[in-house]
Amino acid sequence: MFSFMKKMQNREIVDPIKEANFDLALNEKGQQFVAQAVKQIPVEDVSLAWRSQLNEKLLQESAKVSSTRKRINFVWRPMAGVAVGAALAFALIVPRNDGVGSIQSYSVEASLMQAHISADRSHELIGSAIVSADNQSNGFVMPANYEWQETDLGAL
Amino acid sequence: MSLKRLESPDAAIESALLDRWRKQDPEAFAKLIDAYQNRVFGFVRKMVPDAEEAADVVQDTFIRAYQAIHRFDGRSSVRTWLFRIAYNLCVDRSRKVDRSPTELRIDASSEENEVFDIPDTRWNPEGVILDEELMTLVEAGIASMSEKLRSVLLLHDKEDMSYEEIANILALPIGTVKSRLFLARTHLQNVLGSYMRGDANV
Repeated sequence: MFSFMKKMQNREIVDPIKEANFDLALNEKGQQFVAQAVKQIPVEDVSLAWRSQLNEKLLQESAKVSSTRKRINFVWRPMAGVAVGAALAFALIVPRNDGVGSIQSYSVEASLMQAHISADRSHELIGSAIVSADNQSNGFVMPANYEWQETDLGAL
Repeated sequence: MSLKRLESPDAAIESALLDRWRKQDPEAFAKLIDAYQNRVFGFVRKMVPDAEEAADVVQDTFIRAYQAIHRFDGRSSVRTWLFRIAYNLCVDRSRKVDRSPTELRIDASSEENEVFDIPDTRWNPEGVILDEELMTLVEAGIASMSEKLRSVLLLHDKEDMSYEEIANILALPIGTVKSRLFLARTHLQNVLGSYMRGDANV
């Protein structure tokens, strides 16, 4: 019995038959007699004085909790207000300062602007000759041995 | 004068009271105290010899519960939770005082003794009538055992808790709970032996 109980206390794997026998031993008459005797011990009730003392302590505890909450609110509410204000200011003011005069997004306006700038630059490089401007627009390159005719000159 | 004792509330009522308590309803907590104060006090009173100290421990139990409601996850019943707090406070107090009786040891040398098998027809559980003499003996027997055995005995035989519930409260394996219960009852059987034999001077 002892070695079995030691095994149980040490959380070792025990023989299920021995465990069943142990459960039976717990239900023996002597064990059950003691269990019944313990059950019949009268319960002492707490007194009203004890309960009112407990109520007072709980009131103090609840007051402590609410004062802690008030303190937390006193510190955190203004801090939260400042944080929200700062976030709003950042959202509303900061983008306006660096957004004026520059196009940073990939909008239609930005791509039009970019196309205009590059066309302008190429125009500067190539010059204002019509031929070269026409060639650039349709991708046609004039052959070097091209013989100019009068009709070409008339088009000028 | 004592307060009227209430039975433990059933699970649904207990859950509703807990919800109200979490929402800072003081009446809900008062109802839970009403339901458990005498049972917790009965347990602590047997664990702590001094009545005033026991009363303080029970008050501390409810104050701790009040403070820790947000940590109570509801996996165990309120009863289990309250008894666990109470038991831990008893153990803390006992460590400070350090005057608990020596634990009964599982000693192989005493295996030959017949204390674990008392073949006596007078041990009839149906016929237990706790007269004053027997009650005094039982209380003395409980007081003389170690806290480890006493707690298991009271939780199982007085509070009708299951092995699993006790294992949860005391943070022990179920096997240990069973063996401690067996030892505790055997110790009481020894204490009551003279009474059962009909000795005059008990």
